[in-house]
Amino acid sequence: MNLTDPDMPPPKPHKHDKRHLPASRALRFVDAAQLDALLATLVPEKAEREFVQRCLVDEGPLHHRGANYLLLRLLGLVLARVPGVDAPLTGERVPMRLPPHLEDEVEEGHFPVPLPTHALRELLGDDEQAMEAAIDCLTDGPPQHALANVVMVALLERLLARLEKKG
Amino acid sequence: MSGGTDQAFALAAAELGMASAAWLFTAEADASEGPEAVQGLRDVLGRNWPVLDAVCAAWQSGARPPRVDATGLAQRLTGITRVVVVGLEVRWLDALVKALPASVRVALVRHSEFSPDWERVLANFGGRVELLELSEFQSWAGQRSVLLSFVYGAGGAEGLFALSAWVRVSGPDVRTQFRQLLGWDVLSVPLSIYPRWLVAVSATDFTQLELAE
Repeated sequence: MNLTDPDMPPPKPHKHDKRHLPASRALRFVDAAQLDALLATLVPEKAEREFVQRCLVDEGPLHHRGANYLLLRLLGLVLARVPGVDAPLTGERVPMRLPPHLEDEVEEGHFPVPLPTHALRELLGDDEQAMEAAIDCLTDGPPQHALANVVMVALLERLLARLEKKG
Repeated sequence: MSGGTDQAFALAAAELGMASAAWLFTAEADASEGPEAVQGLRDVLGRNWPVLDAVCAAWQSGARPPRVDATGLAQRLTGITRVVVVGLEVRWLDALVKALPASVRVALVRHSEFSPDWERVLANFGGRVELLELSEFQSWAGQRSVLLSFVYGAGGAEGLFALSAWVRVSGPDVRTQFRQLLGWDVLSVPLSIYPRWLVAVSATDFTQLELAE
């Protein structure tokens, strides 16, 4: 079938709840260089950043890859509207999902981007159990979830810090 | 061509790797008995050993064993602390081990269709290469770890192939436990018969594909 044939009738508009975009076009908006520039503010080392970026937009289901890209870029746009200088990223380690019998044997079984906790502490106060549960929720799951959560929290924390400085 | 050649090649393929053994046997056949012996090697063993068949054909067209220089690859692995190797090709692995700093640990996943004597395999590397069972290779996962598989035929039109061990270790969970998934092409000549022993893989399975010369 020639989909570009001008004599063919135009395709029927998709219903809102039934989109069937071909997989080859599903991620056409992803600009790896733009995402790399955003991640560079969080993960300075290039090889580590490439690893994080692969987990975010090159692995896992297509819809997660695309959603990760869009949400992170939008947060990046918001952050850019509030100029400021950010502290280096520190926080809780984000563990890889390793087989249980090997978890204690792996020395570097965490991703090279930590989960910052200042904003979460502001949100949850001194409730350590709530904090522990929050960290667990944000860092559990496959990397396309966990790392997207972590980067989003990092960007939100920076946004909050910049807004606070701005007064 | 002696009747023991098949057994000898099977042993060499198991403990050196199919491409490493193929170049060695082809060169020896040519050196000892001339071009007819290369044709004989191909006729007798080629159908069972497609990599050998491809190497013999290439030899008859003038190809010679590729120069293996892992210096560039080792430089691109700067910052890496562990390399987990899937499959065996001693000609290439030996070059990589020599090019990597001693601080980088290298391990072979103990899985092969060919039942090699693993202790004898390790003896070739002077203590620089360790063994990891299939059930525990992820104990070497990490943000500065690389999963490396030898691949065959990256430059040809017939597609890209790897040993079945690669398929066993490269599931979606494992992909995000290693910084890089590296394919290192060891067969720069085209495979022309059904690639027995190998499985078709996609170049996009790898984050980096190191092409053969």
